[in-house]
Amino acid sequence: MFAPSPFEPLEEHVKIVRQCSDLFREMVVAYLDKDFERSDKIALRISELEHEADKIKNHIREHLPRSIFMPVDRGDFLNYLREQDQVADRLEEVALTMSLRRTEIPEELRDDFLDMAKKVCDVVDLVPLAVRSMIELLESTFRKKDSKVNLYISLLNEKEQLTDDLDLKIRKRIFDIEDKLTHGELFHLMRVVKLLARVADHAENCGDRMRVMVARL
Amino acid sequence: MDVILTPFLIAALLAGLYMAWNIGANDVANAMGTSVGSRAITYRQAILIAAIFEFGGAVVFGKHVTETIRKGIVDPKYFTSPEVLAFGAFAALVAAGIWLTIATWARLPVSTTHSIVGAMAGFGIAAQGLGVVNWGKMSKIVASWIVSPIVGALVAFILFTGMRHFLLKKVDDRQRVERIFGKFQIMTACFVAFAHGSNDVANAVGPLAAALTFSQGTAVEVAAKLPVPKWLLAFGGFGIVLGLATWGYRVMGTIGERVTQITPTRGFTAEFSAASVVLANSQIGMPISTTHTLVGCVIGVGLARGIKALNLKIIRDIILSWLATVPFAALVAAITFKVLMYLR
Repeated sequence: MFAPSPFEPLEEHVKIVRQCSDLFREMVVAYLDKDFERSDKIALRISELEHEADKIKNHIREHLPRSIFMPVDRGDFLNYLREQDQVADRLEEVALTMSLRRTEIPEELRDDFLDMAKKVCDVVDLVPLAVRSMIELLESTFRKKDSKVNLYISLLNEKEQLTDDLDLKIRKRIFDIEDKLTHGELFHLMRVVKLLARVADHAENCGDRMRVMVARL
Repeated sequence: MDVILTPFLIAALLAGLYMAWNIGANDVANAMGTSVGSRAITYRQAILIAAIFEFGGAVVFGKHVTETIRKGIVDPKYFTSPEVLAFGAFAALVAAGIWLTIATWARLPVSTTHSIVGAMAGFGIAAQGLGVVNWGKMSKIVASWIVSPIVGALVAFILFTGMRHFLLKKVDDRQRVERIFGKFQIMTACFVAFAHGSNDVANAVGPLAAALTFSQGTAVEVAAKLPVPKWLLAFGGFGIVLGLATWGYRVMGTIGERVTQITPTRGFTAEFSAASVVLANSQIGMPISTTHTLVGCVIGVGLARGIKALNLKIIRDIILSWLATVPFAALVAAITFKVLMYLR
């Protein structure tokens, strides 16, 4: 009568997402320090973790047939899962794209680039916190008003906004110094910044999907 | 009453014991599973609780449902020979036992209640045709099978929603609440065992009582009025405890390990609702399935968003059990009855 709960594997999955963002922070530091061997190694590790996350995602989907009844809507749950998985996918993509080319980040961009990477990871790190508080909400007493879920969801919205601002600012900067850059550098930097912003987008989407999911509680 | 112990009666007692053993081994484990699953009690404690309260429920409240099985399904007034009735009840016991064994082997979800109700009707039809079955009573029994899980779900839903609203939302320390409800669950486990004993002991004792009262050489109408002796209910209670101690141990252990995600507040709600519904049915003499009622109650808690994941395939299993068990148990009983009559 009791089916295995999908919420514990969901939390396992988000823990991997969190590991990815921790590694990505290290990777950016190494990349800016031109320690490209180290950054490549970290990118591969992120790629491995993303694969693990995929496995958990598939496991959850396989064990969630239509006959399973949950406190949240099954469709909402699966939509949320897809978004959470996208965060890992996009982190992997930006990490691998960075390691495609050993671009030395120009001095003018270094601080903003580091700042942006950190802020994107900060957004990502809100997702596991939101998941935890959602699970606590389910386990406990449905005191949604006092639950931190809503707090984390609105924080996700706010913090993502910061990365959007930075995204625009950096891309403008890149064009400001376009004469100093080769075509390869220009293209690579633009691409990396764009992908970085997308990671935060998906983390924010997690919040929005979660809002839908817990709306009925 | 004084009982004349014949070889027939000894055989009937053994068959009754086998049924009671089956009930103890499987049914009780299902009924106590939620208490064990929420870690409110260990399975050793569950067995101890069950032993005391199953017995108590059987002796104190077991009479009404036993009467229904004994003479409510097949109307004794259509029989001139009390021996045929005694033989038929014995055949029903044996058939239900055989059917349960087959179904367990085939992993079919069956209920001892449904088996015995089907078997009694089956023997009646085989002996004297469709007319002897009290269809009015029979349809009420079948209706109670549909109604009891639904009522259980409704009671559990209301109870859990109410608890959430008036109690759980007001407290800050969730862990503490769960601990307190863990204590409550010891009481509800007793309640469930008591309710189960009161309803399900009849599945073994009902036909046994018929076999006993109709084999004492008195006329049918006299025998039908004889009360069910208390010692017979106690005998059934003993059989249940025996099944629990020898085999239920194993079943309960497996269930306890499998069901790990129900917390004490949820377990309490489901059990309390189920036991109330079952006991109410015992009082009005309705033989219902404790397992199905409990499933209904757990689904009720789930609908109130209290459980992380429920497998609703269980509903299909329950409906299958209604549709399959009764006709098949009836068929097996009819065959057993004919064979026994031939061998006599």
